[in-house]
Amino acid sequence: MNDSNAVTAETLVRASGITKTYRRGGESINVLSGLMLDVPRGDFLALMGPSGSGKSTLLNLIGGIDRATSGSIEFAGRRLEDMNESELARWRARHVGFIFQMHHLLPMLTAQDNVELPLLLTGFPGAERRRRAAAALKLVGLADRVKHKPAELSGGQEQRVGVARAIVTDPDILLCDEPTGDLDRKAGDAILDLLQALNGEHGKTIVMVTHDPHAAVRAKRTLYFDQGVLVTQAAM
Amino acid sequence: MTTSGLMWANLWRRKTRTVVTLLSIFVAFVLFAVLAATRQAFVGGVDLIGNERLLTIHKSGLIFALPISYRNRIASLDGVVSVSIGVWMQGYFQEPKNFTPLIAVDNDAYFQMYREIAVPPEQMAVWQKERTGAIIGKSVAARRGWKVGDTVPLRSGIYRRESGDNTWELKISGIYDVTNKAFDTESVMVHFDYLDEARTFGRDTVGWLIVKLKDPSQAARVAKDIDALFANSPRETKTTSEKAFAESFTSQVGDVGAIVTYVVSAVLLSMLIVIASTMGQAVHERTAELAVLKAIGFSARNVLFLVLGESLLLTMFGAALGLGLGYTVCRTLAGQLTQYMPAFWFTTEALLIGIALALSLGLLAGAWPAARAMRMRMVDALREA
Repeated sequence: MNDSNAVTAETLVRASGITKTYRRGGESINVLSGLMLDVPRGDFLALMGPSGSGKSTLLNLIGGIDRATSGSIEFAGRRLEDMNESELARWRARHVGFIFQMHHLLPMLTAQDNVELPLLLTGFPGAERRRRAAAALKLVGLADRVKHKPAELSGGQEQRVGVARAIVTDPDILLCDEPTGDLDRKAGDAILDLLQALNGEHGKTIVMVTHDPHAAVRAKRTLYFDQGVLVTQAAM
Repeated sequence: MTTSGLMWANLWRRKTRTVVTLLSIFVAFVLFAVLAATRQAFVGGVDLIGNERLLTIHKSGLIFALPISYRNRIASLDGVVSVSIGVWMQGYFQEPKNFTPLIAVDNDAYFQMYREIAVPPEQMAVWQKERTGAIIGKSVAARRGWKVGDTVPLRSGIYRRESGDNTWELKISGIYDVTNKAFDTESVMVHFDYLDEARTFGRDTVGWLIVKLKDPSQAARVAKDIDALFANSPRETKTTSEKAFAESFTSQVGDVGAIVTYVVSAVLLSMLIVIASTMGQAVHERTAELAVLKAIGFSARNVLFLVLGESLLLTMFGAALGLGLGYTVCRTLAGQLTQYMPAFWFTTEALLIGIALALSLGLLAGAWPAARAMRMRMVDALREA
């Protein structure tokens, strides 16, 4: 099954005939097979499926941190496979915000400094970087935790810093890989509330990989993967 | 948050490891400074000696004397401006451990020859009139508390007076300084005539002759002429430029320059391994974080520079502390060693070499971990995190 007929708004991401093959121990493993997918601007899309079904791989391909074996991914009309590594890095810095399951904050930096990291690539002066980082932290409800280091924060707070880091450059799309996978229900709900607000109030396009149906229901629609192909979709 | 702030913060995430590595670098560069000063003490002065003078000694070595009559014969050769003489008396004050270079020289020819030795004219005028007068270096004067007008008893390890005593009463006529660091301010110069009249042996002989050339480019020819003049005589000569003489004299102590270079190389090689190991571990531990940096937009080159920058920062910080303390140690030691190693000092050239070595060390040690971080595949690193 493919998703190309579901587009009703301006398409931000278009994946056409995506195949991804890994070689492991001399054996070729097809993770994605001829995938077709459109993600409209402003969408909140959940990707579900069993482990190894290809959903995280697709997220990596959309985010330009991995390359498809064949097929094409267009982002706002621009083909990612035509960009070299440096161009992809610049493109990610400008257009993509990543939210990881394990936060991956730098432990020796404060929340403020962690959020400022992507801004180091922008050329903004220091005062402007600090202002933007503070605004992002305020948006995620951590205005009173700017000087705290990750070890001094709860898991949920760490993930909110991760969200602030992802949105501080005002990217077009947020790619979330199991953003609540390492959190308890309450903290997870808070993150999902935040993602919904970013989607609903700030118009951010979000693609979220999750195993958790409770998380998936927060998305506008959910796609199910199995063995590298889309098997069904559900709109919320 | 700045890029350099990020590098600095990364360095201190493992405080113990960073402190131990910094200490190693620090000690290595203190050692570098002291060894560089030691090398300078032995061989550095040689580079500062010009080629405008020749030195003539006995063909069999310095301990054999030459007739003073050679002075006039050499002076008559083509290309020679003037000739001076010197006799090594091996002086000491009270006890042999208080070694003081004591040299007998001819009245004013010696100081005319060595313009690098500066004596106030009025003191020089006094010295020329005083038979037992001595011109002493300012370091000797400072260390012993001697001043112009004092009479001091210096002993010779070689020459005794006819009375059987090896003490030479000297009246200090002047105190000299130098204008060229190849020369020291540790010696005491006395009149050759005073020595020659009173010594029990070796009269009318000198230890060496110094020949001032009209044209330094003619040095080889004049040296050959001098040695030819005394060939097949009972006291044949060997003439070289002062610089060549100093080099051969230094080499008798051993190739200090090479030894120091080997030791410094071994120390720096150890440092390279230590820093590379530290940086390798640091990058290995942070694989996932570096992958995240790449994911949020840091290019491979950004990551390369980040790791190289950390390595450079670590090395330059340790080296700056080490070279700073090394300089202080050398200054302190220079004051204490001036009697034995007057040219012991940490030169600007050595400082620049130290900085260049620290830069190279930082870059080399960081190169492999940085390249590994640059080539790291984000997907693999994030999956393994």
